[in-house]
Amino acid sequence: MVETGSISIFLAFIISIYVLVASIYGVKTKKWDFVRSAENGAIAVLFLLIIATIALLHSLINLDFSLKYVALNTSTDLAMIYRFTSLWAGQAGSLLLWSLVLSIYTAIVVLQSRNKDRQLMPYVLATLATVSIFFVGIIAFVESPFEKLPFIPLEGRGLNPILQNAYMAIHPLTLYFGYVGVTVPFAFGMGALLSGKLGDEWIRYSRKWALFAWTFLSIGLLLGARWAYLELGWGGYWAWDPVENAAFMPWLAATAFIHSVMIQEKKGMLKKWNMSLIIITFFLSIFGTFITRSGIISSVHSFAQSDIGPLFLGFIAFILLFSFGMFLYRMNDLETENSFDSILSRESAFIFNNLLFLGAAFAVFLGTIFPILSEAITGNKILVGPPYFNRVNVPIALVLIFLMGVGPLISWRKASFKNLVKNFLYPILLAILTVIALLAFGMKDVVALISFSLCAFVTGTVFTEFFRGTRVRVKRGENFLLAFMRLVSRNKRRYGGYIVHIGIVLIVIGVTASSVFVTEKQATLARGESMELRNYNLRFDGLKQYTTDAKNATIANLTLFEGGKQIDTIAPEKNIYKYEGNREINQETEVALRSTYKDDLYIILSSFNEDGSATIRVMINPLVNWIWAGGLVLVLGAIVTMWPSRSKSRQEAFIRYTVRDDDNPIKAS
Amino acid sequence: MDIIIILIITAAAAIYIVLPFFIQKKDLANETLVNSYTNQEDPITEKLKILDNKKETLVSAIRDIEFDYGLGKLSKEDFEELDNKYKLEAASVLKEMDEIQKQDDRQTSGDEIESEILSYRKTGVSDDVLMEEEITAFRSANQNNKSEIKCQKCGAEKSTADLFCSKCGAKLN
Repeated sequence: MVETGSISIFLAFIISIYVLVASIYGVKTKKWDFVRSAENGAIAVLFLLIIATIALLHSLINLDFSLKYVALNTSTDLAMIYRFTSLWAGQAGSLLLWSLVLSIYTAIVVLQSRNKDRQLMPYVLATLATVSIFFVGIIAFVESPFEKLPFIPLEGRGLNPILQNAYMAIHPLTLYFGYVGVTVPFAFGMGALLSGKLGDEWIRYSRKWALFAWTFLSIGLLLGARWAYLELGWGGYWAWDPVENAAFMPWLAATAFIHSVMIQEKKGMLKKWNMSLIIITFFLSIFGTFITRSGIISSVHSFAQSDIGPLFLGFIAFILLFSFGMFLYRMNDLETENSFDSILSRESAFIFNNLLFLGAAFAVFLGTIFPILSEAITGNKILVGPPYFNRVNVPIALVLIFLMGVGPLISWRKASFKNLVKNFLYPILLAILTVIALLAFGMKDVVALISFSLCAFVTGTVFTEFFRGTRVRVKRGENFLLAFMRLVSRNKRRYGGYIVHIGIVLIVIGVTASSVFVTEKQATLARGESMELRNYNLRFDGLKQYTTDAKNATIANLTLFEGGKQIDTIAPEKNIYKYEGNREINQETEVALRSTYKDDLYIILSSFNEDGSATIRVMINPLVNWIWAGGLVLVLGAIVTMWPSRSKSRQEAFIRYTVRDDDNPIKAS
Repeated sequence: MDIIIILIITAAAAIYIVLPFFIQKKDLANETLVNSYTNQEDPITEKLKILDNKKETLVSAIRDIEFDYGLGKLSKEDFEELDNKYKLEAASVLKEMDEIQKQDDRQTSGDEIESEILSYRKTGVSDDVLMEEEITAFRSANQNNKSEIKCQKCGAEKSTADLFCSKCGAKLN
C-alpha cells in the first residue's frame, strides 16, 4: 500500500502539471478537447490523492512504524480515533490533506461548470492546478508522508496528550476546508484577469465558495478557541498567538470580501478593490499555512521545523508578483459601471466596513511578523503580545459592531435622512436603556459599557428588520408564521446575514464579559480547608490518585457551595503521562469546568504536595458560553445564506409572456 | 501486488485523460453538442449574456428599493426617483435584447423560454413580488414603445400590443 500511495502522489504531481499546460494551451488555441482532457486530469488527481490518503490512513491505523510519519505521530497506546486524526497531526500528513481538499474543490468546480463559460473556466482550472502543483510537489519531493525510516522502531512517538481531544481532532480539518476554500474565489479572480472577462462572472460563480470558506474559517477559529480554553488551562481562549493570528487574518480579509462583492453585484463598482481583496485573502491564507507549518515563528503550538519554509516563501512571492502583475496589466479594463448614488447609502457603510476589516488584518499582520523582522534586522526578538493586539483591534471591533447595526437601516444606493432618523429611534433607545441599566447595576468599565450598548443597538436593528419585514407580508394576508418563513426564504442572503450578525453579537457579548469581568483566585489548601470566590465556596476534600495504561492521574476532590448551599462536586486533575518519548509536554492538567449560561466556574489543580495539600486556582468567566452559542447561531445563519434559491430564468419567461390586466402596482405600507 | 495496482491506476488515469481526444471525433457529426460546448464564443450569445447580467442586476436593484420602501427606509420621493430610473434602464436593456434576438434566427432561445414556462407551470405559484416587478418592468418596456405603430387607415398612433385601432376599428399589423 505504501508504494501505491507514494506513486499516486507522484502521478498526481505529473498530471497537475499536465492540467496546467493543457488547459492554457486548449483555451488559447481554442482546441477544446485539450481543455476537456485537462478537466479529466483534475478528476484523476482527485482519485489519486484519495488513494494516497487511504494508503496513509491504512499505515496509521495499523501502526506501521517503518514509516517516519507514523512513527512520529502515533504510538501503540493511541486510541483508534486519534490514529485516524493523526492523518493531519503532522507536517506531511496535513500537507497531503491540503492537497486532497484542494483536489476535491477543483473537481467540484470542474463538474459544476462542465459546459459553462469556456473563456473563463480553463484559466480558473489552470490557477487551481498551479496551487496543486506546489502542494503536491512538496509532498512528492520534499516532505513525503511515505518516507521510510532506516529501521523499524518498536514504539512511535505518539500524539501529544493535549491534542487528544475532540475539538483538536476536527479543528485542523475545518480550518483547512476554509483555507483551501479561499483558493477557489482566488482562482476565479485570476481566471477573470487571465481571460479578460472582467465583468461580474467571476464573482457570481465564486460567491458561494467564498461564503463556504468563510464559514469554515469561522468554525475552525471557534473550535481552536474552545480547545485552548479546555486544554491549555490558563482560563482564556485567545492569546494572539501567531498560529491563531494565522487563521484570523484570512478570516478578516474574507469577511471584508463577502461584503464588498455584494456591491459589485449590485452596482458593478469596486471591481479593482474586489480583485485586490481576493488576492490579499488568498495570500493571507497561504501565509497562514506557512506560519503554522514552517516553525518560523515559535509558538505554543509550533510543531515542526523544516525545509519547506523557503519553498513556501518562494511560492508566496510568486503568487503576489504574478497576481498583482496581471492585475496591473488589466487595470484599465476594470472599469466601474456606475457611480455612487449617495454617500448616505449601504454601499458607503460596506466600504467603511471593508477599510476597518483590512485595517485590523494589517495590524494583526504587523504584530505577527514583527518578532521575525526584529530578529532578522536587529538580532533581538521583540515579542508582541496581547496588549498591542487588543489596543488596536478593540476600537476597530467596536466601530464594526456599530456598522453592523447601521447597515440594515440604510438602504442601498440612497437613504432618505428623515426615514433613517425614524428607523434609528428604537434601536438607539434600546442601547441607551441598556447603558442605564448596566450603570444602575454598578458597571463602570467604559469599554464594556460601549460594547454592550452597541450589541443592544445591533440586536434592536436586526429584530426590527425581521419584525417589519414580516409585518409587510402579514398585511398582504399571510399569517405571522408563514409570513416570517416566506420572508426569510425569499430573501435568504439578507436574513441569513442578519442571523450571522446576531451570532457575532452573542460572541461579542461573551468575549466582552469574559475578558473584562473575569475574577480569579489561587490558594493552597489543606484537607478540609475552603476558598471563596464571589458567592462560590470551594472545600478541598482531599487528593486521590489512579492509574491507567497511559497515565498517572491525581485528582483533587472539591465540594462546591453557592450561597451556603452545596450544589456540586468538582474534580480537576493533573496527569503525568507514562510514556514520554519526545513529547514536549508530559504533564497535563484537566480543567474542571462547571458551565452555565451565566458563567463558567473554571478550576485547575495547579500543583499538589506530599503532605496532601493542593494549590487550587479558580476562575469565574462570565457569559463565556455565549461565545460558543453565538458560534452555532453564526453557522446557522451562514447555512441560510448559502441555501439554494429558485432559478431566476423564470423572470425572463414572465417578462415576455405574462400579461395581466389589473393596474395594481405594488402597495408599500 | 502493489506494482499491479500501480499499473492499473496509471493506465486508468492515462486513458481517462486522453479520452476527450478520441470521443470528440464522434461528436463532430453531432453539431449541437459541439455548438453547446463552444457557443460561448458566439458574439451574439456573448452580448445577450452581458445584457442579461445587466438586466438581472437592475431587477434585483428594483426589488431592493421596493423592499426598502416597504420597510420605511426610503421616502416616497426618493423611492419613486430611483424606481423610475431603474425601470427605464431595465426597459431599455430588454428592448436591446429583443432587437438582438429578432436579428438572430435561432430557434433555441424560443424553445428555452417555452420549456421555462412549462417548468414554471409544473411547480406552481411563483414569488408575487417578483412577478409584479416583472410585469411592471414589462409594462414600462411597453410604455416606451407606445408610439411604435401608426394605424394604416386613420394614422393614429398605437402601441404594438394593440390588435385593433381604437379610433377607427381597423386591424393593425
